[in-house]
Amino acid sequence: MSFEKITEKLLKMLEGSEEITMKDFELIGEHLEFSVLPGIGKSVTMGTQQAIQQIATQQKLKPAEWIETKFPEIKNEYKGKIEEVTFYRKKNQSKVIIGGETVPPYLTFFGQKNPHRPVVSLDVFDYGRSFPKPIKAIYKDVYDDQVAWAKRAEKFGADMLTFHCLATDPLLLNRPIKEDAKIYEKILDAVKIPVIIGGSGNKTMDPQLYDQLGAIAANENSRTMFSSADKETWEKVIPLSLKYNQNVLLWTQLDINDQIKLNKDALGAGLPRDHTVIDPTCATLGYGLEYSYSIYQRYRISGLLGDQTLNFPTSAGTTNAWGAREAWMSNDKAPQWGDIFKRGPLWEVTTALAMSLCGLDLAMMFHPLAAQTFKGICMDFFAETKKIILPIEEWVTMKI
Amino acid sequence: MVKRASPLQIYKLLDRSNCQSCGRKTCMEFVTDLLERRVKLEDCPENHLPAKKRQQIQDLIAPPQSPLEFGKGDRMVTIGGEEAFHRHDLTFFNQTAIAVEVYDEMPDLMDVVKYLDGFAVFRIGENLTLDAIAIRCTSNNPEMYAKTVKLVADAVKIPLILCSFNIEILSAAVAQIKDKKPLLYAATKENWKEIGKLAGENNLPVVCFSTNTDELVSIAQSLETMGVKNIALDPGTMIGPGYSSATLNKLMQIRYSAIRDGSALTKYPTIGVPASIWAIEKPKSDDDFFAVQYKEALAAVMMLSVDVSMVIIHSGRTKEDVWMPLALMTYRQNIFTDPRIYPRVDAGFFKVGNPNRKSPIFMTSNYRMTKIPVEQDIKDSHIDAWLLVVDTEGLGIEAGVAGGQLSSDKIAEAVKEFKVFDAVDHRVLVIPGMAARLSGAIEDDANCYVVVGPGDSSGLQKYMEKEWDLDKYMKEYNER
Repeated sequence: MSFEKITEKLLKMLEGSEEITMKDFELIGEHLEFSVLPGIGKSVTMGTQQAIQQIATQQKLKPAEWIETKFPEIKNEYKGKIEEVTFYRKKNQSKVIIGGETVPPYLTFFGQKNPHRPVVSLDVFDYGRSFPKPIKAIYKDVYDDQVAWAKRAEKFGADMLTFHCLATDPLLLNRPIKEDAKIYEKILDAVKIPVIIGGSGNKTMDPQLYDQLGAIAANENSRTMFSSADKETWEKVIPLSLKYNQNVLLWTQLDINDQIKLNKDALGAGLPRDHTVIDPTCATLGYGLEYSYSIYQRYRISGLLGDQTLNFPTSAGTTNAWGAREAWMSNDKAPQWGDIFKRGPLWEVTTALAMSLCGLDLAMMFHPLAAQTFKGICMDFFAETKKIILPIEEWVTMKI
Repeated sequence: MVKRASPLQIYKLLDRSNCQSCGRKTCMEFVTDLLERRVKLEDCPENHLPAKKRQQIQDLIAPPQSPLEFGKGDRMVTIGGEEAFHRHDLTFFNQTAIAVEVYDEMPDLMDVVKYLDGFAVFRIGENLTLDAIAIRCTSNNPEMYAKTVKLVADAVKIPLILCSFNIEILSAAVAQIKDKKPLLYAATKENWKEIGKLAGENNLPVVCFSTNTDELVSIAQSLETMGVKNIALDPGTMIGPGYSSATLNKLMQIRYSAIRDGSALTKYPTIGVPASIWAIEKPKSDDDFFAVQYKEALAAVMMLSVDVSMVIIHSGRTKEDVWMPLALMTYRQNIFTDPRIYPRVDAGFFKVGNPNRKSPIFMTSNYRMTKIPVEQDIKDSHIDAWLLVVDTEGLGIEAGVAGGQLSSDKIAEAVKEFKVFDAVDHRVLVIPGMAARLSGAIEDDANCYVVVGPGDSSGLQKYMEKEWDLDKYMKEYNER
């Protein structure tokens, strides 16, 4: 009998059987034609030794049977709500609302959808300094023209701007606040979007700054934000925010107890809940981002679970990302990291996206490409879910 | 979150003989390390732990998400096996594997796989590498695919993923390299019987793919019932308006169900495929191409953020694209740092290399991510120096200066407390560029000559070669 005939006969005998048990079995031969999957593919030829080994390690599989299964139901444990905070120009001429979340970022399967996407505020500094190359390429010609700088940032699609008054720090340029106030007024004339008032960090000058610039904002019926008040300045800043009806950013540095205390102090001093934004400090990708990741997430989750001391919209200065050497170091100095015009903005947008997946409402950003990319992602997340399924499985056979 | 076994629960099941066979001094230490996954249960010898109790402990410590291993040898990779829902609940244990995909007809395939195999970035004391290469079959030719896969498997050590929906193609490749324990991608509603059999008979792990979550768990259940042991889930990666949200939501549904709720139906590691964006978007210009790369990178960032067990990416095959895996691996290094490690390190006065009485004194903060890189940079630049670490309440230089945690008083205090200038024959302090605005005040408060160093410690070597001039500084100090 030929080999083919034997095979044919064997297969006929085995028709319908799921498994074969062999007893006192001896196999001698140079080659063994072994059909792994009868009836489906073509048989695979292999050396005898290998085949025997395979039989030995084979597991006993049960017959294939389709088990129709429903995806388990997921209960919603979030009962809290994040406060809503509004920014506007001249009585609603332009308006930005942040906060109001009832579920973790971008989730919809609980049957609820968060009302507002995270917004982007682009930085305008009150004087030009040595910024990294990718920033320089965008703004170098307007380093000394803050109005042109602001207009350009608005054109990039920013939802708001932040005017950082660093020059007012006596240890930097010691510029009179009056001068920054004049620039602020001109910026307000030139753009339609809200312009956040950013301090220099100097504890004595910042309250004076908020007093002068806050008066300008109040005068045109705008509500923006003082960025920021901390444990040393809140006692002076909160009354000013009440006087001018402005929002306040309560800033602490990666310390949950400090934030709880500052929030309580500020609320106790009369700061309305819907004027309160918190900034627990955004560390940079590669240099401690994980601390911010966990702190932003803890605040958001406890707020959503009903904690009334932490249920405020959050802000993050992703501009910090440019402090990472992977972001600023030039191609000559760091050829091993690839093109700075790609890695630089990616460093910033990665930082922003990371925070937004933990719980972020306001990203204070620097590079327009990072800002536009981040805003685009947020809009993608907030768009109505499309029902059409894309042929993504084709990635397996694409010839690139 | 699913409740974690308490150390006592496990300790009670041991014989408490402190036999030290596991290399620990006591059984309690073994229990602690077991919960931290620093030791395996098998390290407790059989004569000390009977099978029944061993199984009881096994059940107690089994994480709600099962782990999946593939590859062989040093670079074998373990994905999944997580028990913390949020990072801050405990820690994430098995970092998201990053795989780069290639295809069998790729002209420079062998060069690319060797590059990926050896790819490494050294960052903050850790060598960051890729975890796997996914080989797709575009030739549609089982023989050619199997041959190519074998060539690759022989040339690299990195684990492999075999990608095809065609059983003939996968079978042919499995026959060639099953001893390398590749991961099979993927079982679908159409092919699950055959792929399941191939996986089961060869004891190989397999990914289930479906964009429908009911169907996805059905495939997994069908495979599990068949006897397939190692399974992962890919709910499909779609990116763009109206799609990104669906992708994230499916991944999060699996996560809530498995890790928060402990459901056995979803207990598998998850797979994301940012690479699949290239099957949808066909860039026509360089700008388009770059935009798609960014979308791909950020899809991967999203997945790393929510502890997806593995991502398969397309960009990153060449040196030119290094910025993308660099950002992803850096982010991964962040997320998978144990949150129980405090951001503050000890303040103090330290030697780096072999400093003498003329060596420079550099000042930095006691933020972990400042002090460690600064110290590393000094070492890498082969500078012998003293390092003054000031207590900034664990903040970096820029943040500390802005918030007042790093001030001239604090620095003067540290100079006094650690008797800094007793160690040298000069009174020069090099401060970070980012603290430049404090320089005048420091000179007054600490009675020293302050030199503003580079803005980033990577510039220290150049600074020491081009600028450092101790005699000049001391002359100026003495003339004041």
